[in-house]
Amino acid sequence: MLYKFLKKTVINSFMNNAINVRIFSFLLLLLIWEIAALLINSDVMPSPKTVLIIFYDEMIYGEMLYHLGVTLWRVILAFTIAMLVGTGLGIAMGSKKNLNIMLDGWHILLLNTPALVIIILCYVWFGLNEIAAITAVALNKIPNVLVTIREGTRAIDRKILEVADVFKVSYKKKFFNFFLPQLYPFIMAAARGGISLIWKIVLVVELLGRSNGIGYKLNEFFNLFDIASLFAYTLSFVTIMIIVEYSIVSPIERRLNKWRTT
Amino acid sequence: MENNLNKSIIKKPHDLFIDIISKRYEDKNQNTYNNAIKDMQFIVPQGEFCCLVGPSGCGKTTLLNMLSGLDKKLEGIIKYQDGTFPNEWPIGYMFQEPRLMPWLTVKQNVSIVTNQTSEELSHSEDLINEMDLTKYMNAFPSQLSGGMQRRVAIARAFVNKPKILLLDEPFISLDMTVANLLRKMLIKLWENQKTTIIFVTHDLREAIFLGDRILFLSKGPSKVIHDLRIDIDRPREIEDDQMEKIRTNLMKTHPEILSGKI
Repeated sequence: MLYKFLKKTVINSFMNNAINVRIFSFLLLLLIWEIAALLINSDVMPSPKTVLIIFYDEMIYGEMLYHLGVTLWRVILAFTIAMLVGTGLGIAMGSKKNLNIMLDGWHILLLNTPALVIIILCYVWFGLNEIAAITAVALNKIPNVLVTIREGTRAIDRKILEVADVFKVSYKKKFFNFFLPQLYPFIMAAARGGISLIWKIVLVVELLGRSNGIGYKLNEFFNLFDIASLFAYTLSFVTIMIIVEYSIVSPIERRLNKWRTT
Repeated sequence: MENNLNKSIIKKPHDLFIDIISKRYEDKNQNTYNNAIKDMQFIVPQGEFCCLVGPSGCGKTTLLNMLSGLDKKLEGIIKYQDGTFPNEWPIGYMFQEPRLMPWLTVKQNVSIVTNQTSEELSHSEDLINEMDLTKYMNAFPSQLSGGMQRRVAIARAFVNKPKILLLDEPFISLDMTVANLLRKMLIKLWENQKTTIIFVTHDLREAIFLGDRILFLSKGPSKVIHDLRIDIDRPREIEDDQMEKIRTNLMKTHPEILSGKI
């Protein structure tokens, strides 16, 4: 009886609010984590509290912010290069049939080469330096961006471009105001998938051949068997990515989709 | 040809001369050429509202594409009295569909085909006001009815102060009341702006209501088979006895003219 009453009033009204559900879901995760840490009771499964303390210490007194900054910089650079090159090639291959036939084989080759192979080859050919690291990450992402943008280019509404032609709009304007806006949903989709993939690859690149960044530190903690620090560093980057998602990606997407929702 | 020349007593610089010897399409499947237009000659005096009526597939859209410069391959010549070609001057075009850009507001949709100087922006606003869309200046096309979207398209067609305005069955698939309202709005703008208009339709009543003159085209390869002047004073009323008389007379003398036979 009491449960039914509670369910009807308190729980239902609480769970109907999307933000409440998110908070509840987050707390539930913390609880499961805490219980797991209690049960296992070992250094390989630190409790949330231990991780948070290390997270705080590392951020204020340690090198966390430095490594975080370095990794973030690599992510931004690789992401920008991958988006620009992938979009350019995608548009070219989507609109020129012969170019597509010409480059498609190379593209499939690159798409199916394991990330690790690309990273190793870049380090071997260019040396253990920043250029090799960024190139390796960008090369891993370019084929994915290309696929999405090529699809988008094929779906372009020619009738809208004809409007630009009859009104004799300049080439620049035709591209930026009649062509590119039609690609925005595809560019957003590519960017969204891009950021999460890129930061994961950046960590591998750092682990294999750099002496700073989150990936480098994770390797160090692995060798020292310091799982609590490993958690703390992971947490830092996940936090950054959540902030990026809600403060940059989502607002841009909402702006671009304004005409759709209304 | 000579007859027509004499009718327009005062020659104006933008009287339009159309003399197409032939316009052919390559049929890639059968490796042959299809004649779309053959020996088509007519003159449209500057400022005239000229309707083109013909059966479907008589190359009306092809003709408009050649006039607008979208299609440049033809045997023959299309030029103004002063020797310039139509696509050296601003051209307005209204398609069968409104062809608005869904991601732009009404005002942006109209002004995007201009250079967006402050003068052109205020001209866009004036046209939108004249189309009774003041309230929807900042609305997106998805928020408008089909008739309202067409009104935006009319405003856009006039915004670059065209020397010639081409309309390709613009009021097709609208209900009668809406279509009649749009016809009246088009006439009002045409009278203010003094643009030459070539209006393609297969609706004879519409042509008689709108036009100073109707040219009837034959089936492909098409040519002008009848040139009918509509001498009814403006403003005209939709349900008018005079118009109905012209229509019944025409149907009596040339019963098969709408299917392209004289």
